[in-house]
Amino acid sequence: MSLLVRDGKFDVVVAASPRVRIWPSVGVRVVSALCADLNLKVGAFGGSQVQVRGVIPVAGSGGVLFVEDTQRRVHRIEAKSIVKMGLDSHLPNPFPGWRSSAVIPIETAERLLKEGQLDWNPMVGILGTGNRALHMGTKLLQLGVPDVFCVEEPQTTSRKRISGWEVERRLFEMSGGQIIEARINRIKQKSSLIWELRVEDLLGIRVLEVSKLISAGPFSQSEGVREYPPSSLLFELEQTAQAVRSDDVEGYMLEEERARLLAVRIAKALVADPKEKREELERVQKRAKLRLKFSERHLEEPFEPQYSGKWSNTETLKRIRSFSGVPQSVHKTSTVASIECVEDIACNLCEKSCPESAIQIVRSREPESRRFLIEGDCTACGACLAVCPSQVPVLVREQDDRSFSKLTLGWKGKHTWKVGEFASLLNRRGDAMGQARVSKIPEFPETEGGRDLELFQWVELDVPTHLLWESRGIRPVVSQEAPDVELKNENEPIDQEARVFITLNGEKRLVRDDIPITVALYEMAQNRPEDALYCPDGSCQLCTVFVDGIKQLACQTRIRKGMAILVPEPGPEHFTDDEIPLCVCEGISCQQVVDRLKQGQLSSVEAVLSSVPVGSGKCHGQICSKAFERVLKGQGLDPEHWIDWRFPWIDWVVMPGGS
Amino acid sequence: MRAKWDYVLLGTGLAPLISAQSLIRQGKSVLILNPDWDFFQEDSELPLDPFWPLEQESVKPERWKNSQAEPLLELLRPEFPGPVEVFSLQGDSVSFSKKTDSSAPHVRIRSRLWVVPEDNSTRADAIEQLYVVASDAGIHPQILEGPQVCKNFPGYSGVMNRDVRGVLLPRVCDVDVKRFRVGLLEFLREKKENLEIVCGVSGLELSKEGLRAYLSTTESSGLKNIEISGGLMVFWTPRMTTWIRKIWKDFDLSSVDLGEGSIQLWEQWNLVSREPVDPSWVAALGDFLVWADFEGAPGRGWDQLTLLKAGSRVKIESFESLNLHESWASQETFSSIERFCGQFLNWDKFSIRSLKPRALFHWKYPGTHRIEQDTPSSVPSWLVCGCDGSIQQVIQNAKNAVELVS
Repeated sequence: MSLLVRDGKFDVVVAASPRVRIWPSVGVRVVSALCADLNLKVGAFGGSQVQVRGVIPVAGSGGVLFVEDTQRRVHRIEAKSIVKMGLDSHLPNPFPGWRSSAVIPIETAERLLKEGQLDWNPMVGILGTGNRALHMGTKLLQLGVPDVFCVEEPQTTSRKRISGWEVERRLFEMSGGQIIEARINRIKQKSSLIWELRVEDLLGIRVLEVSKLISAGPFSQSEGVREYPPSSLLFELEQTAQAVRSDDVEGYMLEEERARLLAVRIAKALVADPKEKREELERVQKRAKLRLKFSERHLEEPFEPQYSGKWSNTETLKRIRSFSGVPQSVHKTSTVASIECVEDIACNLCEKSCPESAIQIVRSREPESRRFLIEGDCTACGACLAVCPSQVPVLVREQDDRSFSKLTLGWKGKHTWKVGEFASLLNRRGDAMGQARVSKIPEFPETEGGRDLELFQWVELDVPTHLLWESRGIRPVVSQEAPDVELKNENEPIDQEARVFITLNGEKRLVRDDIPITVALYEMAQNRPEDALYCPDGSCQLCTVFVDGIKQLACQTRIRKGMAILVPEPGPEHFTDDEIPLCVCEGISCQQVVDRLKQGQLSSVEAVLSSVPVGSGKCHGQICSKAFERVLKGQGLDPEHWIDWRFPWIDWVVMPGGS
Repeated sequence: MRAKWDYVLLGTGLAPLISAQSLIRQGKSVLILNPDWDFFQEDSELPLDPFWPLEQESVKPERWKNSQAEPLLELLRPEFPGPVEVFSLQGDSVSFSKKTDSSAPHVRIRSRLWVVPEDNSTRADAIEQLYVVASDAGIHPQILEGPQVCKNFPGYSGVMNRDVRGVLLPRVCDVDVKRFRVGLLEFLREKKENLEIVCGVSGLELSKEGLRAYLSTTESSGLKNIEISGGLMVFWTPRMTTWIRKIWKDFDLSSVDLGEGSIQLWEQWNLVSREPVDPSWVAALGDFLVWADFEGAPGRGWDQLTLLKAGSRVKIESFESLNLHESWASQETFSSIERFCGQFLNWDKFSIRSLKPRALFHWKYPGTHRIEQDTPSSVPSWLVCGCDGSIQQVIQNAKNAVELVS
């Protein structure tokens, strides 16, 4: 079969760039639906059935999109407006060793956590302190990884504070995680499984031994929607939403509202007279703008709990107790929920889950008009405890006249609590405050939303009354007799039955059967920097290996008994110790980019790219383009609105006359 | 930024840079205004003269002469602030001296090979004609047949089964145009006293004293009046057409013969396969011109094949109305690339690494035209034509324009 090209025409096209995992995500749905409502012809291309090969922009009138389907037919789509659904690579700013196999982006870490039996001991470092980084850290800690830290440069930590950050941070710290404000100096391999990470803070340099360094961007602020060239109707929308809203409520909301604004903009440009829809468009636009503005409001009123020793200081406690989600009187007579999301956040999962509608989130500029909990209506059913991704709500019953009060909270972790057992009580940043006895393990309430509730328990405790408003977490009591933490992966039992022998680079290896080769390479600590992206659909096309002599993608090929895998030797990188590689495919260092920029006084991204072809190699910029943009930003050049339209987006393999 | 300039140059690409350099040498102050966001969005210069289409007009002896090393270096070296190096890629030997500057732009001396299948009588006639013209010009062409042709064709897989004929012209040059342009721009940007380059200019209008435009510079941004004492030079590339036609509505297109099919579309594809690509030949077959892609001096392996494909010719009106969707990477292009790579080069598989769409005027009468129309401006204005195409043509026309203007 020869290469067959089919032509098509659309008004608006939404196209998935390589590695986009969720298709169609909320942004795609919103843009498609809003534009289609106005009788625009809309096409959305992505997912497992079709792969977008790239766009050729046609100045001023949209562009031509190339799509390949599963039967290798090429569809050539003309469109007046194109929205590229972009994905941040989540790889860090270049530092010595950043392109080593220890550094993996957060998407890869999430997939390996789900699919792999990776040894995360003795310590996992996470680059970044955003919501997603903290969420990942918490998950690792709950699964039994002994030590997890998030590291961020001091001056950028405050900028990472996006809405909902305070509650994520609280859960991360209560789970035993640590936030370090330091600059990464270098990562170097110490042994096959251990990497030496040097970080520098105000106290000096410290050396940490990590098994993996998970890179969790974003590493710079982004508007989320770009248009380039200006007035071309060619856009890029960042995919910030996760598959399930509760995994990252904030990212979901951002993508949804940005998509609404974008769709209105496209509609206004392409529909000459929207007639009766005009008012609706205005309403959608206004609402989206308000919600986006609202999500930034937490920066104006940040909540940073302050402590006197281990105790919350008076100011902090006063603010918590006066918050509209915290009961003011009912907790003294009956058990009631206390929802302590003091900062404004976009999440409303608890509101939706409450069967009594006792949670009603009303945001307002004026604190006195804000509403959260109608305490008289709360029946303490616990639905909000189960549904909250950050485990914020607790049930309280204060008994002033007694030594002990009741506190019920959600627990997620390897330990299974039993009635009568003692637990260490933790304050909001994870300091041990005292002990409490488990008085009851209530039945788990039915909830909607399909969250991952494995390992989840609902624990009622007898808490010393004076600690009721300080304690918001628990952990098992560690006695003197307790054995040390065993340095082995206890996530999954090792099932010898399901293992098979394969040959890797001529050596016999025992690996789990029927797992992707990429996962096997990670488990054998034989992974390469090329495996870092580990995309679900093979769209990055970087992880090629030879399986029984035939070139295959490691992420798309599964292990079977007796297969011979040959991992190609990495090419020479030609970098000296002083140079930090940026574009490994083309052998370009950060310093070269900076030099060219300065010598030529270049003032745009295209100008720099014309001088140093970063991202024109095999990876087509999937690994280095964001880092490249950040290097430019560091030199005072603004790449914010630039979109890389270079064609194709990935190497397009054509087999003449073949199938 | 100062308000008064001797010359204002309006355009994208290499030609305004060349002209600006000549004017600065004469002690004039020059402002270059670029409607693009930078000088790299539209590169209107081809690294070589494609001698396409293969007809009488394209194979004139003077055009051959301009692609020879000595005349070409005579043209390039005075215009470039640093060294312009040469290396020869003739046959199996690569002549390259270690004393030369490896990061300089290079003139590459290679052989040019025109190939036609035996059964194509029309093109075979053209080849015969090319042989005669080249012989008359003293270029010493050779007629090659079958395996001799295939052996030298860049990217050929080595299966010698083609019934083809070709004419070979030794020592035809092409230029590392990217390095040339970037180097010149870097040099000019340092001439801050007499030269300013402003990109992303919009809202351009003629005024009595000169120009009015929305400029965004590091110092300030906003609508600025620019007083011009010497003249305004407008370098006409397809991208500038809309503005030129808006300002000088009555300009007679027939004076430059820009009528039917005046814009030649080209597609520059970069392909990678497992076959080695011989860097010492530039070959032409049908609508394709192919060569090994590399920058500067030889060093890395030449694994990428650049394929310049001549597309359709479109009317100037269709370019202005931006109705070019159908022109790029069409079914016909894919089919012909597939045929070329699969059936001629015998590749079993290849990757498309990049595609750069280009639109260049097909000039019959390039030159510089003084605009004599009544406009709001009293400033002398010149329309410079022929500043896109091969680098030789661009530089020569830019130099001629400066001579005429100053």
